[in-house]
Amino acid sequence: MVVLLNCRLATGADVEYSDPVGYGLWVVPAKSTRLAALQFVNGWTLKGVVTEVGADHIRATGWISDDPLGDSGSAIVRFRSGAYAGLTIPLTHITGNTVGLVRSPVGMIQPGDEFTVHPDWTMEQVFGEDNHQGLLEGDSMKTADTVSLWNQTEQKSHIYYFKSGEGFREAGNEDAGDQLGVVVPALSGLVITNRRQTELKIVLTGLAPMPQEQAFLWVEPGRNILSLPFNNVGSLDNLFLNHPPALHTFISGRAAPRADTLKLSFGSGAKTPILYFKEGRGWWAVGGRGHGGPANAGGTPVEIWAGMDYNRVGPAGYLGLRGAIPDSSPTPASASLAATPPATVPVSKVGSCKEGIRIEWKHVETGARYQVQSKDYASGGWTDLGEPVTPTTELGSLTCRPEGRGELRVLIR
Amino acid sequence: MMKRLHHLTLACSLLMLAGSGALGSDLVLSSLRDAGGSGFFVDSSGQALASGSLVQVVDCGELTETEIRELAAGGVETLLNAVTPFGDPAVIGQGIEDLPGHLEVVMSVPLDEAKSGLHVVVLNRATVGDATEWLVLSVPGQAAADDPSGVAGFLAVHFEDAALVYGAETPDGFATAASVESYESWISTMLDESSPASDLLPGADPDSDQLSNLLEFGLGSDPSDGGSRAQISVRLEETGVFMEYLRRSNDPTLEYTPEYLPVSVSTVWMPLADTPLSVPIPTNPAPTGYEWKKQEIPSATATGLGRMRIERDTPE
Repeated sequence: MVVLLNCRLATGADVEYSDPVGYGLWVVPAKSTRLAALQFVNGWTLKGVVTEVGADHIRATGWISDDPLGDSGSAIVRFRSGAYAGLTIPLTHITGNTVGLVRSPVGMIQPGDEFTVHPDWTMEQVFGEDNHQGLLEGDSMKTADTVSLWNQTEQKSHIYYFKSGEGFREAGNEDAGDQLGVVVPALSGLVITNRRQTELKIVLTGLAPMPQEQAFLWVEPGRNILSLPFNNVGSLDNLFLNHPPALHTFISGRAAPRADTLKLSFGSGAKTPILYFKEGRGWWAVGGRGHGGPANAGGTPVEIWAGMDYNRVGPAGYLGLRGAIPDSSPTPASASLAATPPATVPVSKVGSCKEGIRIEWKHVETGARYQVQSKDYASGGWTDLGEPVTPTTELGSLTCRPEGRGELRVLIR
Repeated sequence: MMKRLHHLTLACSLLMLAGSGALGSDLVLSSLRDAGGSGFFVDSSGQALASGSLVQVVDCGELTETEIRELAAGGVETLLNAVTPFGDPAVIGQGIEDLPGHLEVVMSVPLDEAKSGLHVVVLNRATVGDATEWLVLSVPGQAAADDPSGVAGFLAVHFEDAALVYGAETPDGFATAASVESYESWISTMLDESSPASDLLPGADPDSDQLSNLLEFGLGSDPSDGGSRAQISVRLEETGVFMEYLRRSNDPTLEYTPEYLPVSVSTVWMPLADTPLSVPIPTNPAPTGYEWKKQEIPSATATGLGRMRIERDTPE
């Protein structure tokens, strides 16, 4: 069964918008390592309303697809409304109207809260069987570009690379064979090492689960590799929620060794020094020279697309973060259409491919023509991608390579 | 001296280049804590170390703590020539807006393997050549190796958790200390050049005052003056009876053991078990390199005798 996203045309008062289809080029500078944030998710496979909250589950009413766990066989629950909208918890199982959860939602989620279920990614979905992202292949992880997943429990990385002539393999575990089916948890981060003398651009795409105004990220003692919500908060001072519940925040301290510390990595390839929240002084950059400028770091720019290397000194808990997608509602294609927003069709599938991004939609009207558009967050306006498409099958599709970071949509004309 | 100093500077510069890449294990070190108190790092007079005073993390390799202490006692140049700099030099005030007596820094050094045995050398001046005092701390834990994925290793240490190797502890942190004059250097300056070699031995008594050279060295008297007496006495105070004495400070080769003999009940000399207390005497301040100490003699001793036993580790 093809899962359609919940996108409807504006008809009367019953208006809903789809999750924005996001895209972006994640830059890994030459001969360097960067944390790439997976801020996008697969389309939802279950959409429901919570009817009961338990220590390890929720019960719900809603709509479910035939394959709620998708190719990865695992999924997350994303809560969409209520005080903890933006909370994400991995699920353990779906049985009847019960959704099992790896962590308790008690005290955070209430009956009536809405949620969706999104399958995790697989390595194949992100990098492709044909290595369409163009990672440098090699005989070992020492000569090839590497993609690593951080395991919070083990506190170590699992490292993967394209082995020349063989395929996607795990370093040190090559005998296990193909690893394209490895699960890449939704909203996690990937550590990518580029061994070339030129920069590497990884195309990431998917849906940005709304709302993005706040998010609660789970952290455990030690190192955590995280993806931040989309945000236009501007600076570090505005990134974390000001008044989250006591247990749902970062740990501050008088000194860095007594506080949680973090490093941010951005889609542009930029990154920050080690930062922490210094009691009585605010955000602080470790080692900032007094005679070379203030160490106060509250004004550190935070880009819209960011990953976080986070070292937790205290017990496990949630971080409350603030986010937003710039102007996420549908916007007119031109000023002349401002009074009548253009009609869009639901995007049924989006993913990276050798040519960049492949976007698919259901052909809903005989003879209709469709125009794919992108909106780069840096420039703001919607622009056409390629020529209008007239599908010959029940699915319309287009491959494209938009620049920068932003959203995609499909107009019907 | 210039040659040695140059060697140290060169080593630091090479590490700065190596650490300028994207990858490097992060070692965070901090002395910051709640407000109040004086500086965490002070000199021997209690003054917070000035902003800009040099701080260097070093890898001491296979050296034992005793060896490190003895090297530090011989001079900071001697120590730094025997160890390997780890990361860029730092300075007091770094990371905390030039606040004297404190710092908070991160050292980024590529590490293939976890590194233990790291130490921190803190000077009371901005350069090795100008330093007159220093301290050495042992860093607990291991600097983590860089993860093979490219993620930098991470270790954060508060200096409160570091162990003193050379220098002194204070209520608020640690104090630097000067180098320790060796017995050989001391005796050569105290006696005439024409003195026979036998007079220079620790057990010799060239002034015939019944105090060996080693006791004169340890207790602050003159080995060439028979009228110069060892600074040791028994004092009756309201809270008890105390043995008070002058001793060399920060000399890791000397071990002082005050002993007493309660003649009415025993014929065996016994060491004083009480912890030595520092007793500044304003009217008779301790000379440079010495300090006043006192220890309580058990109150059950109605009458008795006291003496000082000094043992010296002889360099191999």
